[in-house]
Amino acid sequence: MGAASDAARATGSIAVPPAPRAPASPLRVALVGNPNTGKSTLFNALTGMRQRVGNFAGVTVERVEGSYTGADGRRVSVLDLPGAYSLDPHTPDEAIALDLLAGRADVPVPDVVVIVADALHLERNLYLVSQLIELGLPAVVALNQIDAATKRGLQVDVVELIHELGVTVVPTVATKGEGIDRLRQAIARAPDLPVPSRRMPVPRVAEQALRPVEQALVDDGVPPAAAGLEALLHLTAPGTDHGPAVHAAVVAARSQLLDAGLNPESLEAELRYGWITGVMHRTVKDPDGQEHTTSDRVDRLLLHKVWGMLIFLALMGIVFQAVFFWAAPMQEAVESALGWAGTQVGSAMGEGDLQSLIVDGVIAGVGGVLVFLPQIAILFLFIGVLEDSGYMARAAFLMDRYMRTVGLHGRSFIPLVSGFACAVPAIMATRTIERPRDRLATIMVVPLMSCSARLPVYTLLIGAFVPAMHIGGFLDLHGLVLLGMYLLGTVSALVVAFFFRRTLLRGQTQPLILELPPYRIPSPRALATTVFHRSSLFVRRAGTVILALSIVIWALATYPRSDVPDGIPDEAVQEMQLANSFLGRAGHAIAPAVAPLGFDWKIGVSIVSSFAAREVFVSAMGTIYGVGGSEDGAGLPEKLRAERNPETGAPVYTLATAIGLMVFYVFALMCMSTVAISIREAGGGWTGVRWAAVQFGYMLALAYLGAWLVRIGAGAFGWA
Amino acid sequence: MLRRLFSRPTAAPAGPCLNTASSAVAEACLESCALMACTTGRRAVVVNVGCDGAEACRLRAMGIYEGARVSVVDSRNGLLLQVRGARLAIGAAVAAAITVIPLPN
Repeated sequence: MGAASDAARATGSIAVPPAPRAPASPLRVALVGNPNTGKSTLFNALTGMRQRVGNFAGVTVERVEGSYTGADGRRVSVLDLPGAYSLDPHTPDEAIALDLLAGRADVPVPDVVVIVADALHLERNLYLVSQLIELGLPAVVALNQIDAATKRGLQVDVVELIHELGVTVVPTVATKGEGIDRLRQAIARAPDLPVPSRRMPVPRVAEQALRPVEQALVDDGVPPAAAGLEALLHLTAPGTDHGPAVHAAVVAARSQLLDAGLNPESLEAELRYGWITGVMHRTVKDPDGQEHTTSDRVDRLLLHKVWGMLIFLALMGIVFQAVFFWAAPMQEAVESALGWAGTQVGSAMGEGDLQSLIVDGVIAGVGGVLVFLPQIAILFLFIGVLEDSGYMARAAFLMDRYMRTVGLHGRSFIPLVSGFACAVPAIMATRTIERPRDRLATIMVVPLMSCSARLPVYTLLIGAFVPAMHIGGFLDLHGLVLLGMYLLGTVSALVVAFFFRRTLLRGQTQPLILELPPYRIPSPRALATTVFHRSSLFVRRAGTVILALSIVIWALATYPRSDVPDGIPDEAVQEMQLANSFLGRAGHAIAPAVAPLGFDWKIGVSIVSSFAAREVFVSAMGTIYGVGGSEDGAGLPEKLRAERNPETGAPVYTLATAIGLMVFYVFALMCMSTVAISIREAGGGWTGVRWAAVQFGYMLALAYLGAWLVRIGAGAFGWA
Repeated sequence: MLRRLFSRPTAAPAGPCLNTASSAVAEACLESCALMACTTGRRAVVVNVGCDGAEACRLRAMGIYEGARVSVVDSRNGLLLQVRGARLAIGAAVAAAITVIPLPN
């Protein structure tokens, strides 16, 4: 710690008394900034792939940490705080940032605060900057997306900006890795520089009115450096968790300000933006001064009531068509690689249980899920493109009207769309919704959005049972059925949300306030990083949970070995063995429960096996049919098509069975991770458990009802 | 509540604002209305942010505070505003709770 900051701390301008640390201890850095400033990209550029994701204690705000080694060999640990427009204690994300920086969190106060500001929207970003520099912590401003600002004709006088703010300012382009080394140097030097302090002028009358509030806050345990900022924040948000002395001081200050003709609610915004106007005037030249940007022109079309919606629906259609079309060649390649591996391992090993375990258990089980990696990667790529291009925020704006009719918030849209990829991050993304009831309603319906884990189930059944044909010469029926499944989930989510908002979660929905970032061409590198991170999560899951479950299912399907009479065909032998195995017995036990849905005991077994993770359905089918099916080398779809009822000789799987099974999976919440995250995000403890139980129960009931209705409907039309 | 949201206050709220925009408001002496009533292309000065505490704080941090100038970029579908160089989309309920004085084009 530098002498200057030590001195500052000694005079009472810093949050928490620092514990003496060896010089070799890691430098703690916190990354703070507005949403849409490229903060996460900058975090990735600083720390590379070494990241740990967790939670702040006691709250559902994500905590992402990474680290790098500085030029002097010192370890630098970087904490990425959630995006914030201000340090407003009303919102959980912003309150956690304030608590952490003011030394009230369970983690030590950072040694350096890196404030990420978007050069293109510097004026608005300076609001948070002005609040942060008042905390008296060593700070560096990363002026990100400086290339976009230059391209737009803005000229930022960085030297003058440093002078105005009193902190180091480093221009960066995080997407291209530009300015990162200089930023690292500035971070290393920041603790040795004088700590920043309030730059905006405060009228004497306001200063006098606020002084007793500051004193009351300090007496109540608020660090002196943060008292000035917090006193201002308390004027607009009185009644937060401070003692009666603070409350009384705030009430007195408000009355004094009103007497002086000042508006306590808007005082902070007026003071800050008044100062920011001057800073902008002295540091930024905007010769074009264009009010209507290209983004506005694009928005004229994309936010149009009719055209905007049509384009949105067309985009969604393209995404689902592409998930099928683009992935097909890659899937074939993965399939043949797995087939080759199975054959090689099979021929290299002698006949026996070990060979069966490797070929039928591991390769068939895990491989059956890995085949869907290309589709999942493509889906994540599309979601990434929509997010990074700025379209996702427009979609939220466009959808707000419709979301509101079912009692959801426009911000619910992004978690719902993210639910197409995975319900776990989607449920975590509901944290941007401020009101608990709005948030809970979204959490309850997010798992109805068809996640990537359902994709293996859909594609297996569609590929096997839906005829490959084109409608109108260009619309692939496979893609249409897939779209239908996604639409069924989406519409159900909206209907269920409507019911929740009128029963258990009654109340008014919070109004929409959303920033629309300018349109950008997504950076291929950032997209690649996102797709890689998400896909590797899926592969890791396949390599751990699904591998373990595949082995368990194989063992249950193989043992106990039963004695079979001689002279019957191999297939019948395997069929009998499977029927007598533990898995077969369990399947027969639940067969009466799934019989009304038209499912046989093997499907029942696969459904039970996939209670922990949906995609296990496919690997369980692979294992069951790998063990009990024919040895003709046919793929799983062929084996499913060839499956006959031993008593009637009729096909077990018809189009109606396949649709019924898909509908079952559209609704059923078969994912341990989602249940766990729902418990945590719905409040944790018993409250969380109760909400998760309601969620699991209603989804299972819908799944059963849906599959049953498909069977009844198909029977009525004579399709069963 | 609704009456308050949709009423047309005849005078700006008590207490002079600190920045120059509010003096412009005083000089303009124009009649105030809900922001929701402003059409595309209209510029206005905010005179009252009448939302709940959390929304009002968010709006003020984003640049919609008493005395701030805003431009309506698009009013066809909710309200799209230009505020401090950024684009903000706000729902009809919020726009109805913000009182502004439209400025002559």
